[in-house]
Amino acid sequence: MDGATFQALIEGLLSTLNVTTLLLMSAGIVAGFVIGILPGLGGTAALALMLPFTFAMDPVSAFALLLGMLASSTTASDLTSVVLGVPGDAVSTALVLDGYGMSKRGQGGRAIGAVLTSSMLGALAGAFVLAIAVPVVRPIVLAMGSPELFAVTLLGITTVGAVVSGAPIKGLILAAFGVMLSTVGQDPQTGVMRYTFGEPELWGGLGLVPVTIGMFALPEIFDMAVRNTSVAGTAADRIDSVMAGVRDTFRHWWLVLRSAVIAIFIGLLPGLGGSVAQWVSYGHAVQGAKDKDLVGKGAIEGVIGPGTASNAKDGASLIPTVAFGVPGSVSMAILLGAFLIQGLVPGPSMLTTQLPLTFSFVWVLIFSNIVTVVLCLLVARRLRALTTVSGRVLFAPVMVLLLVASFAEKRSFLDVLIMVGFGVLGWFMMKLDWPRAPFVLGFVLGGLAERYLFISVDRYGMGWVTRPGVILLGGLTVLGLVVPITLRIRAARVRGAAEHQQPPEGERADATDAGGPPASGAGSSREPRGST
Amino acid sequence: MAMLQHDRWRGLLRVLLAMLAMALLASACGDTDDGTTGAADDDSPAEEEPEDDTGAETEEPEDEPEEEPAENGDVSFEGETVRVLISQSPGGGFDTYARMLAGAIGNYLPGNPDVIAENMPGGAAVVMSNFLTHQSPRDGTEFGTFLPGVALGAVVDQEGNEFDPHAVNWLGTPLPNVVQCAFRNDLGFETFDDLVESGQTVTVSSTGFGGNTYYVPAILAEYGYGDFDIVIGYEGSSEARLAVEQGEADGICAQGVVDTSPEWFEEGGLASVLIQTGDGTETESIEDVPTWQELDVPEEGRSMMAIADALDGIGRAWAMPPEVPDDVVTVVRDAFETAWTEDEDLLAQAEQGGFPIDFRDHTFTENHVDSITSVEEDQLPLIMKLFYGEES
Repeated sequence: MDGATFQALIEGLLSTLNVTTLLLMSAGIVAGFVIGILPGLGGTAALALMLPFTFAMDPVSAFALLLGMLASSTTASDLTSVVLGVPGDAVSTALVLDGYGMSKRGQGGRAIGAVLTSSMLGALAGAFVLAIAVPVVRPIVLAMGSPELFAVTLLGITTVGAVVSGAPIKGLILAAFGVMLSTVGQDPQTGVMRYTFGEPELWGGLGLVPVTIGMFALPEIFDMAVRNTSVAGTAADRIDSVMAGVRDTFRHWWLVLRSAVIAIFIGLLPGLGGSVAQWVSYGHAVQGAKDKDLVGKGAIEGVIGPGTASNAKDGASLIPTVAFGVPGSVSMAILLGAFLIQGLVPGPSMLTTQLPLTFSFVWVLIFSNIVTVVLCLLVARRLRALTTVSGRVLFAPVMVLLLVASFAEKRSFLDVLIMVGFGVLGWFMMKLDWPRAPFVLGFVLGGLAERYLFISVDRYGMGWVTRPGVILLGGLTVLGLVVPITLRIRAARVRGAAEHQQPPEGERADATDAGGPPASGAGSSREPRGST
Repeated sequence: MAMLQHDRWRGLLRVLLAMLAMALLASACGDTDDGTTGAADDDSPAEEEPEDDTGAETEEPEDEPEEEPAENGDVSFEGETVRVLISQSPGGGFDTYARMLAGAIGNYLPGNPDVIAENMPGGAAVVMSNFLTHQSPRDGTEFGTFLPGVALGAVVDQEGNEFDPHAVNWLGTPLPNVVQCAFRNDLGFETFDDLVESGQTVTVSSTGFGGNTYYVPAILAEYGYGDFDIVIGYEGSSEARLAVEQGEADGICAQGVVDTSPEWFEEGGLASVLIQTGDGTETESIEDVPTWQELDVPEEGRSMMAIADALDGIGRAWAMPPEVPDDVVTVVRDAFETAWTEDEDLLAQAEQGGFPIDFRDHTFTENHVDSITSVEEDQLPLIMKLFYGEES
């Protein structure tokens, strides 16, 4: 970091340290937390509604309010994913797998501790890396054209498809199914309708909120209500479990740093949303999980990775927003609206002459995250208690929230039906042990992948595949595909050899899978032993 | 075991019944979607008239609304949420103008409703205009801003376009457009003549068929003024502009480029505007930059340019859905005009942010719409080619 950047960093800090700014930030944090904790609603609507109130403020105050709200709603959304298995918004879905898995194993408190701590450390690491990277941020962003962005979307889909599910082929097929469903609606290139069946409400495609909460939240709450169990089932929780999660996170500091770097890199890319950052971080984190059997069912690495990413990406995704005017998410788009109204013009000046202002945004994010985490830790015990509440008690209030959330996005009753439809699909997938994560990521990234591929071919012909960035990212994608499949083939051979040597004793019961539904195909998706 | 199964099925049944009840509840709450609630109710038999609404004269809530339309003073948006629909992705000029209006217009609508802005990008604004035509409630609680190309799309039966430019209720525009074509300086062109005479293929980024990022370079190229490779598919104007910064595109034709990317045009900047649409008399025209009306093109080309100029004259057009009661339309139009011309905060924000305002009311827009919808049958193949990329 050169002297001028350091000076800008300090100036940015000083501009945030005044009473008005801190009070507005606190107001934003409280509002964001309350809205973010409601499943499916997220902070985007709150940001949009709050926007007009910022018009009369100075830029630092306006962004203190909005960024405070963004940071706390992001963290609160993560918590609902962990505690109830209901993603607060589409960005938080990666935390459902292992975060909710831990809750089902009676380790809800530990998962909350881990997600909160990793979230805070992610924000700090994100800001730190960003401060160092400012001089090279612009060249990096400018080097990432449509071909590279397509390669990143492909990397995201295959990472999750191949790594996360533990069943690469099945995962990839479901990711492809998600991509297919993302094409519903009007073709952005030609305006032609695809799979809309003459239904105007489908012209804009299937809504992300109804699909996501239908796929993840509905089956879980439905299953719990039918079985009349709580999230944690009969698994006992430990009294000190929140602090255990905090300690886990510090123990995995190297993973926190790596996840933060991944999230920052993806957050910097213009046009890609936060869910990509969280999913790729998740994929990376679980690759190094100590106990592969627990992946997707409660591995601590699968909580720390995406937990770190969820706030680390926010600082980074400010950069394409302020420096290029291209927001990576709806939240950032709303921030951009506030930005323009404040008379600030997105452009290179935000990384040079206006750098103190840009850093003040980063500082607000840091402070907001710290305050949010402290706030959440205060209520963590009560949140953890939710995991012991009976499913039949939880069913009605959670269903109301899910219905409202799916209806509210477009005020469409069809979206309620879509949510229920995907809930049924998700329930079958859950029972058949088909991974839902690759499907959702395929759905999220399919539209982007199509757009970037179309532009790449239109602009460069087939020459786009020879660009260095594409080759690098493509290589990572191929590795992400080949390595897990190779490992599985090797594991199958080892298992086959073992079966030849030993008399058949029937299926080995898996004692570690407490709380979760019996997984019919689980035996085939587990690594035997010693596999890396 | 059998008892357990029985309990499980009873539980399942209860859950299904509860879901059904919830779905019915959501359905009942969803009446605004088909316009059965909202401000339009004030024009229908008023069963629960709010007391002393806005201090205006109150009429007896009688049962004959169709015979005697209610006075404008009866229209109220109290307790409603008005949605401002934006046909482009966030971050561009359309978005900013719309959000400025969203922050102001609630002050001038009776009942001071909350106003939220919502982006609905896709299909060069066809997605939003179709939504406005078919799905927006007919009560004044939704109106939107979109690319004017959808009006032409409706005329040529563009696939998927179900917009009816004569059925919607136009509100006007805060600024008629002028499209500026900016090209990277590293191409070495100092004037538009340089570009044309070079014969070099120049890549321009575009959001899609039907939009001015497509049809302006297409018309220029058709009549020998530049060899443009138009790359379509960028999600919005901000992404298309970024492509120019990245070098993925050599240039872009879009309205307000000098306002949205001012640093491009500073000394030693990235790009220069070499040609613009219109005839130079428009508010947004740039001095010393040639207009396409000055170019030597055949009569057929001139008529295409005239259609394009009419489309851009519609500008950042705003409209309400069809079938909105007249008194509601009048109230919203008044509020719309007052917001753009008198709201001090909005005007200050526009000045602070460098967003010019040259308000034109709905009659101005309707005149341009008429000139677009009166194209001759034999012009359609050429229009399809130049505006929608479809060779006959």
